[in-house]
Amino acid sequence: MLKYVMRRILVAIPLVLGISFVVFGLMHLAPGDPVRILAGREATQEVIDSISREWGFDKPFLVQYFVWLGRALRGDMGRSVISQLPVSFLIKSSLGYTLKLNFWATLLGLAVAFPLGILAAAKRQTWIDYTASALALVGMSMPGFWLSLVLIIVFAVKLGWFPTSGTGTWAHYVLPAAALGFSWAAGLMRMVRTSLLEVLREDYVRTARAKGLRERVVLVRHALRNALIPIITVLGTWLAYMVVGTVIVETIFAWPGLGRLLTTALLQKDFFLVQAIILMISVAVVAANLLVDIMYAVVDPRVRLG
Amino acid sequence: MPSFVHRLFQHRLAFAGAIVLVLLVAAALFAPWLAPNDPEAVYPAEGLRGPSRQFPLGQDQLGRCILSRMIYGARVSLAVGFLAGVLSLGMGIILGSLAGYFGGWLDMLIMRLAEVFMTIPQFLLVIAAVAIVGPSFTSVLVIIALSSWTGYARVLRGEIMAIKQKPFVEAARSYGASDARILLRHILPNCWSPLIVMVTLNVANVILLESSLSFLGFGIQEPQASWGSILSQGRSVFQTAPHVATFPGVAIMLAVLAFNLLGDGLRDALDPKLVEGE
Amino acid sequence: MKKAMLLALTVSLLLTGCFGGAQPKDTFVYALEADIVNLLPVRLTNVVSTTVSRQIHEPLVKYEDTYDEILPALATEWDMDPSGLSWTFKLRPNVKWHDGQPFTSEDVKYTYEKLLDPATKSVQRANYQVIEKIETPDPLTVVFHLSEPHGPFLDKMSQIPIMAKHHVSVVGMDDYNNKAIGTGPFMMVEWVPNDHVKLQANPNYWGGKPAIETLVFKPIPEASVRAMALEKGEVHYADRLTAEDYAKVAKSNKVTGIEVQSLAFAYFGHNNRNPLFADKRVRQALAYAIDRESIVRDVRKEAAIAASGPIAPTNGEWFNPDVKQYEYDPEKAKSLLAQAGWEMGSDGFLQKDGKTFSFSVILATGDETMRSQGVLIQKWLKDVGIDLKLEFLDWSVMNDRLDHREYEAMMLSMTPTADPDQYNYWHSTAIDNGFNDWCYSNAQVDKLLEQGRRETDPVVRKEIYDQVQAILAEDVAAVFLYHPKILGGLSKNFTGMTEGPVGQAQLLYKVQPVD
Repeated sequence: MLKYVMRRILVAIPLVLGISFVVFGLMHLAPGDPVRILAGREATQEVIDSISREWGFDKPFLVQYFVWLGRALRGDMGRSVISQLPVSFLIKSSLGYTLKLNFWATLLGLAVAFPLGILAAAKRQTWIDYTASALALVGMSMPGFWLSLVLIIVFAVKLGWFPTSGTGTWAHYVLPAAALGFSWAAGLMRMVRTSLLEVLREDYVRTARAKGLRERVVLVRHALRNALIPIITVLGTWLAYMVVGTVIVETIFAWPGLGRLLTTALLQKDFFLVQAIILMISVAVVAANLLVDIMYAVVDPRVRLG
Repeated sequence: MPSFVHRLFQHRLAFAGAIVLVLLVAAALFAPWLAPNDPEAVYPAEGLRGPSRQFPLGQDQLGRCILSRMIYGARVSLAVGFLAGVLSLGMGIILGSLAGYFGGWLDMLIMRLAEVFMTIPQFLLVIAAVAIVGPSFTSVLVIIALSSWTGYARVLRGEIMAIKQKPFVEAARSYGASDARILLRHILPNCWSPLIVMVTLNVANVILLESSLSFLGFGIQEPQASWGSILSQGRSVFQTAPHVATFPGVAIMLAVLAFNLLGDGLRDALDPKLVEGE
Repeated sequence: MKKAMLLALTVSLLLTGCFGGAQPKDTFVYALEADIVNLLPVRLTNVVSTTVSRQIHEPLVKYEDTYDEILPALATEWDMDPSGLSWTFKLRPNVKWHDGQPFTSEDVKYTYEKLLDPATKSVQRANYQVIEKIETPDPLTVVFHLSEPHGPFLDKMSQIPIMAKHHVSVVGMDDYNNKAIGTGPFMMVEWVPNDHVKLQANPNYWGGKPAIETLVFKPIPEASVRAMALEKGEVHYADRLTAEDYAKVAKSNKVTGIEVQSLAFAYFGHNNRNPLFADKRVRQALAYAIDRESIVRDVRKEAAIAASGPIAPTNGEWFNPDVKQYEYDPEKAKSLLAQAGWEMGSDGFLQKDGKTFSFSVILATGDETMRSQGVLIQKWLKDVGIDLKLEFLDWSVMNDRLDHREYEAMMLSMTPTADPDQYNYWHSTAIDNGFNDWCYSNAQVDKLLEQGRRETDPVVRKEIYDQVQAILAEDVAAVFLYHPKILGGLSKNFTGMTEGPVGQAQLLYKVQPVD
């Protein structure tokens, strides 16, 4: 097992390097001189020159990359060109907010998706199934910012149950977490339902039923456990869902997290900050995938040999 | 083939999805005949009026007809969706078959690249690239396509690796068929079913992605209007004139829903093993 | 099922109970459109940062409710040498920094020296290069020596808040936000990026302790959410509302609408270097063809006043009302164009020497108002036979094009300072070294601007700038559209917000809760 984990980690290293290269190269797609954009419209030539020298923009591309990578490895992601603050400080102060919001969104998503998915599978082709499935389809198809605004108007302004935006109390979490968790929960619910239905068709479930076990016991003891395996894969796409949602939801709900930091940085062309955030999230994805692989290996020993 | 079509038609939801899509595509194609008003005509003094006889879905900030703008907007939204889908499919086919058919270091290189692109969340890659290059119809289209070929390439590579060993391919090779010919005539026709399902779901994804881009200000720009950009322009008056954002929002939802349903239906129809159990 | 409903009911009851009146009465929450960037007085770049920084730091002199008069702030008296080459400021005695240290002339000297130091990378530096030397004969006197007489000097002294030498020289300029120390009515408590900035009343403020104890700034980027938060009472002041939200909010019984007239001017700017616009009649035709009243009414929803030049009518004495006015008159535009030799072609567009009158205007994406304006102007120009294309550009690309002067026309707005010295906008040297984005070059205007800058007698200056405004209008240096108002709303639980002409920073020390 340990050997397997080590092997997976070793494979991840070139992947992370590849990602860092793409992320760094991205910034050089800019039309016009990146330094000019960094320095801002009102900057004088000497400001432009000093920024260029300070960030190594006067050196060849590969040199810039290795300088940047070397600093990144030491945890120095540079300073925001806009505010002159260290990128690491900005990320540190927003990461916690994003993690907390994502935690509650995930919990909310799981709490909705699993019961509904199981219920829909158990009561297949009844109105419960249809309603749940329809809800899931709508959830997957709704533009996230639209849902967020509807939630604010209905639950914050009209009903007055929750604050419109910002942070502070636990009630501030409810609307953004719901907006963030909803579309993911919708996909997850469908997955739970489908994989449960597939397992229910398997022979051993039929056998269990034939033995006269109660339907609920069959469902929970036999079917659900086996249905979990494909569901782990879906948990792997969790991060991707959350990333998109985070960017949109945090902007609307004025949530001080990474997603909002990223949108502001993009609008201001704060290159170092953009690079750092994308790199960090991508590395988090690598780590999450690694974790999923290891979970697989735990659940299904055959994987380790492959 | 007929049995597949038959199965698809039996799938009621997929059928409904297909009908919605046909209607949307028709709306886009016949926009000049269907739109009740000139989508560009401004009536500044009548800004934000609700639905009326002349303007069935109301007017936007400049008094333009929302329905007409949406009908024309269908062209842009569907075009981005389809073209990005087809473009990324093309890239996926080329890279995936190169990797799967030739194997070796080429396979290794392409698959590592695919892995890199799959790991960086697509949305981040797209907003960053669009923000840097500058948003336009072409840049949005190309960047989305560049970032979504990986799924196709992986699937195709897997299929090809499996098919490559089959006797009929061996047979073709022994007749002296060229690599290109074997790929085009013998291998690709056997791989299309999972790819079609993926394209359908991908188009849905692209339409949503474009609306998110529009929200952040990095979507399709004037004078072109996509559903995403119409919706995004309506959000500043969501509370005072909800019709401006509601209708394009519903249109996006319907289109995405339709593609998702059709994709599901296709998957079931193309994968007979799933249907038998029902 | 029943249980779940009961639970939902309890939860919702609990919630409504929780959010009755959570904030203490002397806490004032101000919704910003974006987070602060840098509070360091010599590195202020945007309105948001300036708004917050000005509550903490103070300049030598200030404007308050109008632009008519410059008031004392950290300086109580000032005097210009008859030569115009030196200015002496007497500083307010017994002023203390937030950490208790005394405020002295050394701090003033330090601030301006840092501003002028290229290493500071201040965007303001170029505007202060007239300062040659700063002397501090005693702790309460500062003398500025200038390289030449400078009319706008006092106005410039109102723009840079003073920072504490003993503090900034120790903590440095880079991580200043959380450590900001000033002499102002509010003291820094904490800044959590993108979440809030919290300030606290300065009990030792020389102007008396402010009535609000805690001042919180919350960045809420989405305009509609800002309006909703205001309506719900989560924030007590929000600005940059959309006209629609403003109309709704101002009607509610919980909020007072506040309109702040800004000094900015929005324009449609043809590139004067382009031969297409060489004929004055063509430029005047553009001005007649554009219905600025309709833009003010239908796009800005009355949140603006129509403009006849670059100086707003609210800018004290400097505004000249007697300049050529261009009422919307498409017929007049057509006849002017005909006089200039343009004939109507069969496609509905004007022709001359086989060429169609067609050009494109660049404008920034993402700005709803600009977009609407562009679409309308396109229609109006089409009405008189001109084919206008709209080219929407991302900000960075737009800046690049502006830097290289690569455009036939552009649409933007500029925010000048209160002083009428618009040398950086209209002087021909500013085409290459300034913000003369119109590429406007007129020898007479050049001369007047040079004179006005060196002149220190306000009466003479008034005459000079009246002439400048008249020429710019007659010449149609640009089609001036309007001076925007900034729309905000103040919770009825508070009063004392300045409705001043500010546009840069509102001073909040007079805000107080209503009993």
